[in-house]
Order: sequence, then C-alpha cells, then structure tokens
Amino acid sequence: MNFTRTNVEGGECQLRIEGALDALTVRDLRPVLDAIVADQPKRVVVDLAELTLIDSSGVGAIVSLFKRVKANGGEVVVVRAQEQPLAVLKLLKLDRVLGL
Amino acid sequence: MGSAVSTKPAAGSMRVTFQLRASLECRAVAIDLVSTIIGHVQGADRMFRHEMVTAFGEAFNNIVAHGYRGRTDGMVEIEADIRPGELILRIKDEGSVVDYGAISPPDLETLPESGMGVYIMHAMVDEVAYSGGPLNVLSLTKRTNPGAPGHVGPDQS
Repeated sequence: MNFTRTNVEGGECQLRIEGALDALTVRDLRPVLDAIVADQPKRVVVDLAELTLIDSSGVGAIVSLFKRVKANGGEVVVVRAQEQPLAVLKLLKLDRVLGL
Repeated sequence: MGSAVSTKPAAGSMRVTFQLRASLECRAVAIDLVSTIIGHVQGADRMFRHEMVTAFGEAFNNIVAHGYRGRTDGMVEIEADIRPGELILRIKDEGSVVDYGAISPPDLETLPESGMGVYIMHAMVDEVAYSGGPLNVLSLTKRTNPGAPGHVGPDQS
C-alpha cells in the first residue's frame, strides 16, 4: 500500500491510496489520517482509483476519518473507487455517505 | 451455520491444500494463492474473484486477530476444492473457537468502524459453515451461478 497526501488551496486535502488497504497496511495509514484530522481541513478528497483491495479494517479507517473530519466541521468524499473496493463500500452502504 | 467437515474430494473436483503462519504478514501471500486457485474455477469471473478473496481475507483476519489472539505460533491450513462452477475453501486453525452465532450484524446506519468482517464474509459467498474445535474449520462455498449448484457460468463457454 502506498499513499500520497497533497494539501491544496482553500483548506482542501487530497489523499491518494494505492494497492491493498487491509488489516496489515492500515497500520501505516493511521498516522497519516491522524495528521489530516489534526489539520482540520475543510474538505478531504480520498482518491481510490489505484486501490485494488480493501477489507473491513481499511473501511474502518476511512469511516473514522470521515467521522472525525465531520466532527471538526469538514467533509470527506471518496472518489474513483472501483471493482472490489467499490463493491465493499456499497455493501456497507457507504457509497452515499462518502459521495460515491 | 452448517457443517464444515471435510470429506474426500468429489469426482471431477481437484483439491489443493496449503499452510501458512497465522500472521497478518502472511495475508497477502494467502490471498495471492487463493486468487490463483480461483483462476482454475470454471466459470469464475472477476466478480467471483473479488467476492471470494474478500470473504477469505476477512476469515483470515479473524483467525489471526481473534482465534490466535496473543499467540505467534498459530498456523492456518487452507483446503480448496475446485469443482466446475464452484469453489469450497476450508480454512482450518487450532485457535480459540469462535461463536459466530453470538456475533450480531452491524448497524450500518451508525457507520461502524469495526465489527464488519463477519457480515462482509457472509455477504460475499453462497454458504458459510463452521465447525468448532479442537480443529476449527470454517468453510466458504461460492458458486458461479448461485441458483444452480455446480452449474457453470456463461462466461466460461
């Protein structure tokens, strides 16, 4: 799993996650998510175009990000999820919540 | 859940067995091996692969995180029966018995951050069976055409 965080103007943050986000790799992502939350962005765009696999642990991390950013008055949207990650997010009824 | 007891492979089927250390570090290898096995299931398409791999991944996570909690000596054996239009994965461990009946489905309206694994596992396959201890066997069955057991899906023709 690789990730790229980019801060853009207007208090927006983009997070691109590639590869597999699972019970093992989510450990590497959590500090990044914590840092994003700490910056209190107005908007976080999570780009999953290159995410090939997600499990319940990975979903939990994204939901946690969503809840915490929202609690600070911001919003989180997930874009370009496809195949397995999209199927899992839809199964868990997160497609509408996350703007998919 | 029904019986997960293993029997001799049925005529026309092929059995593949492999063992891994029950560790998250072995998860990717386990998934790669299962994915390779899926490639030999007649009629299995991309959705079949995604769903079976997803269910297996959650089962593997549960064994590592709960069955062998606090242990580093655990092993997982995966027995795959490849049949025309059907794949059965029996995932065996010697960790703690899991009371699947006591696990409630998550309330998705509350946006849970955990407790979704078993729900996902059930949703992704056609049958889940479990036989607890001393050798725990979790059996996941998925068919290319769920309405007709053993039927070969159209995309293989």
